[in-house]
Amino acid sequence: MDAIDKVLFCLPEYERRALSDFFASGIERKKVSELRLRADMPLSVTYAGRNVSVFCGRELVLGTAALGGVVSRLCEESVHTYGSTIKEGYITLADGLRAGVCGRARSEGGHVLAVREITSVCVRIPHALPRVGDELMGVIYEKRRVHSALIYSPPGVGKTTLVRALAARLGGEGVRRRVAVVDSRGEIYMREMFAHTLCDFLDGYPKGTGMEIATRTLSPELVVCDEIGEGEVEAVLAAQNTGVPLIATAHGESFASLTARSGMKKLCEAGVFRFFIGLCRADGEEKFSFDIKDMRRGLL
Amino acid sequence: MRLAGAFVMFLFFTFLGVYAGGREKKRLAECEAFLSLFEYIKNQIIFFLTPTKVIYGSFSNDVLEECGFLPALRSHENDAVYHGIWQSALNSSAGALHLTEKQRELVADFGDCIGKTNGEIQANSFDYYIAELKAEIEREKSEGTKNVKLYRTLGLAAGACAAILII
Repeated sequence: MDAIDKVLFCLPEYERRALSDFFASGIERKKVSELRLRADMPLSVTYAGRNVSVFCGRELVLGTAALGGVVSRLCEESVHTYGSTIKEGYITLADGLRAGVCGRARSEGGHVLAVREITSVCVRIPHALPRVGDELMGVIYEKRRVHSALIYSPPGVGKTTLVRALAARLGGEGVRRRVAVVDSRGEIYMREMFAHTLCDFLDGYPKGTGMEIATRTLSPELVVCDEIGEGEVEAVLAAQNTGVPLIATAHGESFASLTARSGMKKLCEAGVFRFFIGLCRADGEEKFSFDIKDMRRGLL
Repeated sequence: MRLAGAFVMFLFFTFLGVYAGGREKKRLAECEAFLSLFEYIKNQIIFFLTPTKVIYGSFSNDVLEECGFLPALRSHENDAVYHGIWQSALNSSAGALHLTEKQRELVADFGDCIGKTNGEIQANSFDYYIAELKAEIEREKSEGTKNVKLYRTLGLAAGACAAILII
C-alpha cells in the first residue's frame, strides 16, 4: 500500500471510489505531489505541478463533518496525540507522509490554544527518489569529505525529497557515515530508503534541541536538518563549532532573498555553509537543476 | 421410566435457572471489565496522549480476553490504515458478550469517542460514559443479586412442577 492508497482509505466511501477511479485513469502516481481537501469546497490533486479538480459527475466536495472524519482517520483515531502539531498546522504520519491542516483556531497572546474545526487538509505525498541527489553528491562530497551545504527553494520544489536522498546515500552507500537526521516533522524518514543505513533520526525534536543532542550525544559524521529558520540560527552556529558538517534546507527564492534575512545572513557570514544550493524543478519533472554558490570560490 | 423422565425434567429446569443466573453474573463481570478498560483508556489518552492503536497492548483483563474483545482490538496494531477498530472488535465478540442492549450501546458510543477529538473533549465524553456505566453496574448489582435468586428459584420451581406433572 503506497502513500496515496493510505490517504484514499481515510476518505469517505464515495470520494474514495471517485479518486480511485481518477488514479486508475492513466495518472502517474509518482507525479502526484499533493491532495487538498477543503470543507465544502472542491477537492483537488496536484499532479505534475498543476492543481486538478476531480469530477465524478460533479466536483468532489467534502463537508465539514466528513473532513473531520478524514482527519481522525489520518491520525489513526489518535487526534489527541497530534494535538500539539495540529496547533502548529500539521500532522505527521508514518513513512514521511505529512498533512498540513488549518481551520478555526482559538488564540490568545499570539499563540494558538486549540483548533476547534479543521477546514483544510493538504496531504503531501512523499516520493522515494534515491538517485535524485546524484548530481549534488559530486559537489558536497569531495575527497571522502562531506561539506556543509544549505539547500534553498520556495515551498513544494523538493528540498525534503532531495535532502532525504542525500541522507540515505551518505548513510547507506560506499563509506557509510553516521548521519544524524533532525526530523522535527517526521517528514524525512521513509522505511524503504533508510532500512539499511547508519542514520539516526531525531523525530519530533525541535530543530535546535535536536541538533544539540545529535552533536553532543550521537557523535555523528554529518547532521541533516530540514527547513531551518531564524529560530535555529544559534543552534546551527553551535553545531558548527563541533566541526560536524551540516546539510540543511531553508525557504528562499534566491540567494539574495535568502541572505536578506538577518539569521541567514549571519550563517552566511559565519561561514557555516560552504555551499548554498538553489533548487529549481520544472513542473512535473523529476530532475532538479541547481544554482550552486561555493562560498570559497564564488558561483559554480 | 416416568420417575426418570421427571428427574431429567427437574434437572433440566434447575440447570436453566442456574444458567440464567450465571448470565447475570457474567453481565456484571463484563460491565466491570469494561469500566476498568474505560478508565484505563481515559488515563492513557488524557495523561499520556498515547496513540490509540498502542493503548490496548498494555491492558489486560481476563473477562475481555476470554470474550475475544481485547484480542480483536490488539489484532489491528500493525494495520496500515487504522480506524473503526472498536466497532469491529465489538461486533466480532458480540456472541460472547452478555451485555444488555443499553450496555452494548454504551460501550459502542464510548468507542466512537476515542481519538476523534482533542483530549479535553474526549475527557468530557469519557467521564459521561464512565458515569453511565457505573450507574449500570450499580443497577446490575442490586437487581442482579435478586435476579440470580429469582432465576434459581424459578428453575427449581418449574423443575419441581414439571416433575410432579410427569409423575
